[in-house]
Amino acid sequence: MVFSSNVFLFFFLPAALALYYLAPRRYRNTVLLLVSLVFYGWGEPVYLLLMLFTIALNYGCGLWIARRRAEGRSAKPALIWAAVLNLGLLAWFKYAGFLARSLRLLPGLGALPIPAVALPIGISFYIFQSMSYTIDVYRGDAPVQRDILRFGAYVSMFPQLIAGPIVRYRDVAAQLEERRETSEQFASGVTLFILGLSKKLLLANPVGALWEALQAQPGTLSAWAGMFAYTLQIYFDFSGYSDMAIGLGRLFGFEFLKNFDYPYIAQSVTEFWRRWHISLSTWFREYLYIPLGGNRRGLPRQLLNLLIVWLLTGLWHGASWNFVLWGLYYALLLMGEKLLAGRFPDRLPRPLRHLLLVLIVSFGWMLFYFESSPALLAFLKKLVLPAAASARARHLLLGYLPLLLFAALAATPIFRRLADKLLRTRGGQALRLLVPALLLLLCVAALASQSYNPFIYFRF
Amino acid sequence: MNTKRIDKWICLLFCLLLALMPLLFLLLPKADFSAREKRYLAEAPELDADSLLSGRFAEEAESYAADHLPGRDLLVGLNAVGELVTGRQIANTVWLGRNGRLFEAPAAFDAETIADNMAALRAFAEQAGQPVDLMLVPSAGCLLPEELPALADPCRDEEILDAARDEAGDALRFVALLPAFRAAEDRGALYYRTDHHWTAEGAYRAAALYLDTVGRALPAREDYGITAEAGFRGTLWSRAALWFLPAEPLELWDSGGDFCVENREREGEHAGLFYRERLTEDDKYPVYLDGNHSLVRIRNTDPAAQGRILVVRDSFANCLGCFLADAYEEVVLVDLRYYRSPVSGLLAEGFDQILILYSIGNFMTDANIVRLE
Repeated sequence: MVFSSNVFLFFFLPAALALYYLAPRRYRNTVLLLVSLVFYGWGEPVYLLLMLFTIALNYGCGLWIARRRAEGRSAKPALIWAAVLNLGLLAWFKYAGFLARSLRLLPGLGALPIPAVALPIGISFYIFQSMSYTIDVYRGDAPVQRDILRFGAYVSMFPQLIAGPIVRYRDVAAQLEERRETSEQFASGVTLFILGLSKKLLLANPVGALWEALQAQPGTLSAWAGMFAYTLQIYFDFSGYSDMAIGLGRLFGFEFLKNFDYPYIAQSVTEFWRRWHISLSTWFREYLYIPLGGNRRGLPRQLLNLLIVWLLTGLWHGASWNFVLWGLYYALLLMGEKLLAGRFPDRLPRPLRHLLLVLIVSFGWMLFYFESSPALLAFLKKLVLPAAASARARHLLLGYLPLLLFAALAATPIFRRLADKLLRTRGGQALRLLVPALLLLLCVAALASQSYNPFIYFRF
Repeated sequence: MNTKRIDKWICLLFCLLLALMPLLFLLLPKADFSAREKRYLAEAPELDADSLLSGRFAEEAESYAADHLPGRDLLVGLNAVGELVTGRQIANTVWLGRNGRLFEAPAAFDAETIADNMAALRAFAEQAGQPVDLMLVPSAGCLLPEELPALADPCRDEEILDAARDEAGDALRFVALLPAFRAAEDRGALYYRTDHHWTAEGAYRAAALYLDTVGRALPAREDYGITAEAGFRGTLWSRAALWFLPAEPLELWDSGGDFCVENREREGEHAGLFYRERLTEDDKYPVYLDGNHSLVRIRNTDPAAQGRILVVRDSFANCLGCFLADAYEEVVLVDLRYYRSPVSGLLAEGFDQILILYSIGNFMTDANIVRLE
């Protein structure tokens, strides 16, 4: 199920909230687990088995780690098994086809069968989340969870199940045991959820439609405008989803960490990645980069670590070579920033550094978007070879200009600051009620329009 | 108001909305059919093990919820207004122009489609062994450029017509409608504001022009009894979802003749050209000949009426056909979108004229024209 659907908004969410708040406190995690399983199994019930297996596997590994530790033995074998099995699941369900297709290119392997596995929704997120549990328990950063229902609620929790944020176990361990839902938290959850929904339905979707339309139009201008449109689309889509997830978490009394922090205002690639999909960068830093030695083993080793982490980060985003290329792109950029620290790029004036970052990131999204190299090359050609844009492209762009400008501003903290100022004025508090109400109305209108399809050539 | 009270209000209103929507959804009566969309709305999904496991239930439930959302039409209208005021309507296929007129985005120029369609028409004309006339109806946007909204794409009807004429060969005769329409003083009266079709006025002039080229004549306009039916809202209105735009009149021109109409999909003959029962709908256009049908025969019972015409056509001929009926003993209308047999099978009936009538928009997008044989 996705958040931006009628079934979720008007049936699932009311039912989930009602069940949750009607249930006695000690059953609330169980209710959360059950509604999350319905959420997950809604479109693809077969993968419920995978979800249940993941829960059981990591729950068991956690207990195993705790027991070995209690017996005074090393818990390392249990951790290794947990990692191998989790990554094995991910590898099979997400990467088997990609691996087989890539191996086929090698001489002698041309007939290798390609396994037909459909990607279970959200698997990259909940596998990483589960792994954070066993690692946190192994490291002693979090206590072992002996209640499988509670653990199941953590792994399958529907707000962040499908698209993150990747909530580390230690960040919510205490909340799973004990949390107090308050009206203040609920209200802020509602507001954040509506803001996220608006980002998705009112900004990301229309800007995405422009990107789709511009791809079919010739001209250098179409390519550049399309690239920036996609840059805005992916930010509002993804950060909107994270906002919805964090907001929904609050409706159920959970507090998750921030996942996006205005990434496009960054001045450097390093800063960008501290602001973009923070939970993923944190995961890779905590569980891979630092264990590899991070920056403590000399510069060459640090560069190697960066390369490893970023190739894997790229691959995490999708099973295709373009994501590896995209990871490599950022590995090289981050290495470059390390090597040039304090030199040329840092001395550029701030606006210039900012402009450069936006260009770098936008271009990066093109590597991310085009999964086939001929399509990417065709786009790059369009980007650099001067050609006049069609009238249609210019008209589309002008028509979308107000929305594009608004979206570009909305990607900065300007509206946040404005809201903070207004909220301090007399009567400003009423805006907290009115603005989300208006946005929600527009969201529902946008959602309703998706299904409005007049059929023109109707007979009889 | 203090912060705490606002918080409580936010919680309350949100929960109220979440409670109210499913309740309304369950309680409100559900329509089977959407007149504006001209389609049947999704039916309640059936719950069984198979539909649940395959994910079909989830899909159908979403369509069902979406199609029967309380206040759906209003919400769709609100979204359309949002697109209009932010300037984004230009990305849609229907635009609101000046004077409250709706326009369809112009047909794209595509030399290949033109060549393919014209080749099919030429082959048909050669097979027919008699002259075949071709009338392509320009779009309202081409005729009324001053009423188009800002940022409208340039109309390419003229280029399309030129290219089609170049491919016409000797067997096809081109009826030059665009110059005649352009020369009209009241161009705005030739097309509806809320529909892509021509008005009765437009169809009358086109019919008169055509009949003139084949040496026939229509009754003078004074000889028609004209009644205006108020409250017509056409397909552009439905597609644009700008509900605030006013309805307009739809005219029925009655020459006083007696006609029998039959079509393939309905049993029996219909007396008269106008199906008045269709006037109860928002989209009243099917009042002309009952809308689209694969094969329509109009018989003029006046013993003085002479001759037969075959029209291979789109929906623009629904209204045009009503005028042609005055000038022939029998008018046969064939719509290739629905008529699956070879049209050549009809030629044995013998026709004085064969007319191919398409709006330029349909001519450029209808994939059935190449099937003509």
